[in-house]
Amino acid sequence: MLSALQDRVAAALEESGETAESVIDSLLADRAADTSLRP
Amino acid sequence: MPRRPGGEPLIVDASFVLGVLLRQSLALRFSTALERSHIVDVNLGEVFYKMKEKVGAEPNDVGGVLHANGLQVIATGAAGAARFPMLKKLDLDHRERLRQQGWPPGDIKSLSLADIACLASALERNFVVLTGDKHWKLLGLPLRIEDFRDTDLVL
Repeated sequence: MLSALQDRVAAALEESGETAESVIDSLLADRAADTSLRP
Repeated sequence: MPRRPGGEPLIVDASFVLGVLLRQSLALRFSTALERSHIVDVNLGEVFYKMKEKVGAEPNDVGGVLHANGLQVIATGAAGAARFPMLKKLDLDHRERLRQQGWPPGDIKSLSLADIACLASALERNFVVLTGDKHWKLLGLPLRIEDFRDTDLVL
């Protein structure tokens, strides 16, 4: 089941031009932009 | 000498779970650790929105696969939430220290709400944290925090 999802995700990534690193980095960038608890 | 958290229970961050789902090579080394892993509901929400945004995967599909691989979802809870003020103060003091040391403002990171939810829950349970957010390791928390992209890390 995991590998089937990973296969689908890999195909979608290839189509979009994204990489695993770019998706992870976009998550970290979203967090860096989160000022909800910043004084 | 590789660092080994052993067979301890883990709290995994969204960055690691995304790494497994997206076949990031350094995350894949630890995909079997999902069976002893926990994720805070807020961080699971991050996985869901990023998987939907970037690859069109539905939360039910992603959640079903993660559940089938043993990942347990936990809530921060009131006791974990009570740790938020301490974590915010620690974060504020840490950033101030870095400013005083002359770090460029753009290089000084702060904790997001999702970061704090994960760390508060890990503190509550004293679990090892597995993340890709390296700056968590600099905070001096009484927790074992591991970067899944550390090439020396062995779980």
